[in-house]
Amino acid sequence: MITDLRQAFRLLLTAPGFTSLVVAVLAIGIGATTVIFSIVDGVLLRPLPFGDADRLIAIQSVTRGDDDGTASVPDVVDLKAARTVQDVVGYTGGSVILTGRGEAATLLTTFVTGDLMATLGAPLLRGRSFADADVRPGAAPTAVIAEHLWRERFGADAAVVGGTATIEGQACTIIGVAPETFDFPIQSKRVDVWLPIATTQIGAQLASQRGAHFVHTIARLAPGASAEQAAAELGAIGERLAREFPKSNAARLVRVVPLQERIVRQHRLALTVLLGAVGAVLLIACANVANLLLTRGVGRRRELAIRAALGAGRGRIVRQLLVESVVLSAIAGAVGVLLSLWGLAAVVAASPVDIPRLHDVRIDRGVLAFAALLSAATGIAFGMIPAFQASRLDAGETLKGTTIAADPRGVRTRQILVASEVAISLLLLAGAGLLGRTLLNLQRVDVGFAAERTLAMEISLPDTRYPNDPARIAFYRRTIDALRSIPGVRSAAAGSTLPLTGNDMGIGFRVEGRPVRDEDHTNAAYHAVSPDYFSTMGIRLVRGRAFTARDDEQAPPVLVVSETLARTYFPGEDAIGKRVTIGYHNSGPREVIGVVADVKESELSEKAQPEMYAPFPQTPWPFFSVVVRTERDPAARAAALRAAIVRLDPEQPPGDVQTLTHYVRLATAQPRFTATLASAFAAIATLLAGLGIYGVLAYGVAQRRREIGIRLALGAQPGDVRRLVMTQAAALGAAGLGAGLAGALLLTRALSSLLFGVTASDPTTFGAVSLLLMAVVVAAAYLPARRATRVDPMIALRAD
Amino acid sequence: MAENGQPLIKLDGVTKVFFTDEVETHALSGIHLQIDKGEYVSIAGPSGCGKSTLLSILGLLDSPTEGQYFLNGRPVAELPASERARVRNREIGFIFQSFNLIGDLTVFENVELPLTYRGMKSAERRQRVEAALERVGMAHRAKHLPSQLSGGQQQRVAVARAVAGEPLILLADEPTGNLDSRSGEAVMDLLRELHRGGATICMVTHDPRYARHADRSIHVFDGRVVEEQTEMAVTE
Repeated sequence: MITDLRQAFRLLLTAPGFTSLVVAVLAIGIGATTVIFSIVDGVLLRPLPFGDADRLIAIQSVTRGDDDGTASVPDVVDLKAARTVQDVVGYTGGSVILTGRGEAATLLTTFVTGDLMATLGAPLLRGRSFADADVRPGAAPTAVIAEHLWRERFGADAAVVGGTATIEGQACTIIGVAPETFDFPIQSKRVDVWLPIATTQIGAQLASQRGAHFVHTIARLAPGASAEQAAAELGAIGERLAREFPKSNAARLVRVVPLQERIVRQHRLALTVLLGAVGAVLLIACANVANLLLTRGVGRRRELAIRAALGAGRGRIVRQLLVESVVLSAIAGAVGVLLSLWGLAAVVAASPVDIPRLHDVRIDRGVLAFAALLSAATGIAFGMIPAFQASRLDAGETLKGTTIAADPRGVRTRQILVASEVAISLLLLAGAGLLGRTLLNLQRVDVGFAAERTLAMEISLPDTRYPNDPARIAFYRRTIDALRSIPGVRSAAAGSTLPLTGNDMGIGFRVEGRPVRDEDHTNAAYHAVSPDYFSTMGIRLVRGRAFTARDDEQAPPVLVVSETLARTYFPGEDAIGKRVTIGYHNSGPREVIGVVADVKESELSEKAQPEMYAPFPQTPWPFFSVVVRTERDPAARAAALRAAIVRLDPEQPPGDVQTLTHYVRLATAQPRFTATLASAFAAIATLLAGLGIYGVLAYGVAQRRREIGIRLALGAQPGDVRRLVMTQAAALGAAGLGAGLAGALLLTRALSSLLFGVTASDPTTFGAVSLLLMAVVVAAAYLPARRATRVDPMIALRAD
Repeated sequence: MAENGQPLIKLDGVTKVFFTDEVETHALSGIHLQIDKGEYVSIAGPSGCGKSTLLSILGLLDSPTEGQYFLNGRPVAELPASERARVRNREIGFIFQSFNLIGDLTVFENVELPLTYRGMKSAERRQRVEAALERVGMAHRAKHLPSQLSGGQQQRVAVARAVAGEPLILLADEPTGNLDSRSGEAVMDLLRELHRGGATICMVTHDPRYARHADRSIHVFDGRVVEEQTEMAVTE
């Protein structure tokens, strides 16, 4: 073996060009596969960083047709009765304001209904987690803070536990510090603080309502209980709740999924597709290298024949050639891992922000072991065919000849390899094409508002300083007035939430005089907005009128609805003048005064959903977002926006200022990420396939020089010879395209749920990528074809 | 003489010099040669004397460095590549020492190949190929691959390929070089028969036995024609 290794290294050094080419091709394949594997491993496969993570489940209260679902706090209390689970806890995200510790700051918060840390089996760095007494309504405010907040805002004070922090304007006892290793929910930004859900006034209000389904629920399987048993028991509780509380729960059922599955499910298909794509690239790289080795093998036939003549058995020759392949792949693996370090950083930087755990992905020992295995496997995979072909050499015949003729078996193998490369490339191109068209279609979606030249900022009002509606309405009015007076701001408005910002709110409603069955869905996306909201957002008024300043808290309650709501709930009649009661702020029936265009609320690919808008002063919230439309570059007004809020209330930290175009772009981040990576892999695959075709044809022309010379001597024109090579290329391409199209038609179905506005067998995409690939085939054949026309016909006169 | 009263082939002071780095190799020096229609000429000489270079110039596979080459009265020394290919295809028939049949094509397809390059219609091609194979006695092997034939049979197929296009001249390069003496004789008989039928043949050979089959034998030495013998002298 040592001798084989020594010879392998010597051989690779004597052909540095060949070695570099093989290492480069393989390193690209191994590097790209390592990057995607590390992401799949870190995001999908690695257990959650909690004790006995496989016993953690998500309990989902879902409505028909939904994938995910949230429960109400009273539901969570009832679910706790199940014996197959323990530590049932509900949580929801939000933000609170921290004051008195340097500049006022908005903290990313998780509100909980119980001891989240106990459920997750996560010990605290200091102090304790929430006890039942801490989460009861009316309990003294308590908080568990994150280690980074403890260090940044509390100077890593060892006596922090038992001390207080001013959160939402009230003194809150810090009962614990969560270590840096703990973060839940797992999301792109780390949580700063965990608080009982009743800490805020609105939280306390909602926590008491059976119909307010806003908390995600998790639990740990009880010892000895299986997930199936838990699903059965929790399902039965869900059914009982549906019977007992038909108004809020009739359409709901309780479902159980592993917690890890719930966290990563959304990204599983896209990442699996990318892993498949990168695997295909590696396969093409292997086929290419196998081809290169086969070609080089022809030149080594004499050497191998001499070895055989000297007594080397078939196994010995196979072993030597396999050692050479594995040495090549080991070098390529090392280079590939270096490439993957850079590639991973690039992919993470280019990724959408919401892939959980992505920023924790590292090239660690596990990934390195994978890369090592992958390198060894690829070395054997691409080395096997050339090694076995070479071992079947007839030493006697080979040594007799003065020149070596082409081995038809080798030629056929090379052709099959190249046709396979074309087929796999087509598969990848078709997938990338479909994802690319999806991205284009998403970018062309009419979001229903004009995102250009706008700036948005979230504002959360603490209950202590803004304890009631008049205080909130007053601040809201002063805010809009202040923003309107900023130079360069054309108009300013506010809404309880803004579309596509990740904050959406749904509220039930009832049409006056119309009996509604409990199980009917009468939910609509809801926004409490200021008078200039529609004009500032650029939402088209279809009928009736928009709100004015006169639609204030004293005026009769009014409502504006979207076209889809009007069409769905008032088919064949005019929605204007109808009276609707909304499930918030018991303000009685509201008159519909206007119909506006549909707006995309949370996703670009979503179907238009019913939406309704009420004047903010009539349905005030302790939080809202402001939006301004500027004369010119909106980014230039961001500082002025922040300053205006600080001037109004120095203890009110200005929120994150972003343009609406940023949010619209964010809505396409995931499909852009998938399409970009898939396109990159498809491009690499196509390039490698092109190189493969070039290699086979160039080798073919070299092998057929004599035949070509004879044809030229017999009067073939350069065009005839060119046609000969091109026909061979076209045949290879057509065989690959045929196989690739068949495979693509089967495999792209798996992409269906990632596609938008295009079918998995879209003929335009398939036609376009076939043409593109054929163009690559023709381009790859051009040089060999040209070389063929330059063969000297005199070669025909030279005897063998 | 050709129909226009001129020799079929006329070389005037043809010189061929190969340049490699700083070395000039004079393969042919001032060759003057005429071949009339219906003549059977052999070119003989030792290895490296320039006879193959001469044949490649006659076959328009190469062009002279200096001098004039008239084929059927038409200057062809400086034709562009595509026109040379056209002339090779229509007016010259090649018979090579190593047969040069294409291994992937059947006997029929090999003979058909130059006619295909001529753009001839399929029916006419078939007729000509069948006639040519019949003429060399290989019609029964039309569907065979060259590898299934003996050397002598392969050379007969090569002759059929050369004559199928009814060229002005057949150029044969050591046509018996790769054959045993019996097969060699058979091929020479075939060439003689073609000559009797009116074919013009120019054959390179270093074997005096076969040179005797020609009407005229030209001896080349160091790139020059040093001697010409008629059939009588050759036979004696």
